[in-house]
Amino acid sequence: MANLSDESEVLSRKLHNIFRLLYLQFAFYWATIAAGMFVNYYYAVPATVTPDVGSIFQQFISSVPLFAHVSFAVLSSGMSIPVIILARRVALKQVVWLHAGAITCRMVGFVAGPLFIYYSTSAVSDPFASNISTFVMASVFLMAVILSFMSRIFIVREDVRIKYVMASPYPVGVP
Amino acid sequence: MAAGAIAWPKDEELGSLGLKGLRMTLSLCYANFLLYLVLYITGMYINIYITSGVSTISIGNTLNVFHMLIGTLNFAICFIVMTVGFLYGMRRVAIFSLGAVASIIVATIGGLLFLSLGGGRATSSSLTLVGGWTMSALFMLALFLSYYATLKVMRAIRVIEAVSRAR
Repeated sequence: MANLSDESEVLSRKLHNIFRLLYLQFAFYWATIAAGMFVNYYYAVPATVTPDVGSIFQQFISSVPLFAHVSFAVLSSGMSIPVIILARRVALKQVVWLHAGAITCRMVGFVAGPLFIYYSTSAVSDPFASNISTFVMASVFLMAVILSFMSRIFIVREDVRIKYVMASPYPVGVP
Repeated sequence: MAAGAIAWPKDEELGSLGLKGLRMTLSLCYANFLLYLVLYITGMYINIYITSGVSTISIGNTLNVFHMLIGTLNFAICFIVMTVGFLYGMRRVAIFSLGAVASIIVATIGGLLFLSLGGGRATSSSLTLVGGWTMSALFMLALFLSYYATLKVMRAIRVIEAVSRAR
């Protein structure tokens, strides 16, 4: 590999920190969907849940799969914050915007999730709205994953540029 | 080394496929992501609007047939990318794709188990739920593994382009 200048070495190190964070974020994304599937197949909103904030939020603690699902969702969304900070430091605007978009999508998911419980309570019992809430939650999750996926493409591009275009004192391809 | 020959970076996995072949593989990988997207949306639709936690679904359901067809195409592309990785010396691409292929196989077994044991959550046995859960979780794992394989192919293309340009 070509000798890296100090500047490119610092940039390279920052990019590798983003890579590590993204590995973690993708692992959390997967854990979110795995726990989400547990919720999907094993959890049913109990008849005792009432359509108020306290009762709905209590569900997040009282059901283990639901707690795991929400925790991993928060962790995976939260990973975008350090990624944004690091991406700003290396002036990767696209990455900043993509992760801001991913966080925004997750915020929508965080509203749709409790709405699903709300519409599933026996007092409200609106299957149409409940299905829509689930659909929105799952769609924005996928959107967030896609946006995070795309961000990594820009980081790989930048990493290659730093290693093989910017840092090379000689043309790398010349033997 | 012959004069004019390019010294490819040793710490990158570029394989022996060449730029054209790599670009074709990348196009296949992108097509595969479209299939993953369709698979996710159809699966989600079936899950929310057809089975809905209480109803059952038969293997002959039109949307289910479409879902399985897309899954088969998805498997075929992962298998092709894996073979390309093994044949042309891209170990990581091959291993990630192998993981995706294995995940899709197990996910398919889970899906078939789900269908054969009733295909509904509330009315079927616990094994039905295990099948469904396995199918969904491993599908997502396959998606992530395919993504990493795609990134490796993309990186190889970028490196080859950058090094060739520098020359």
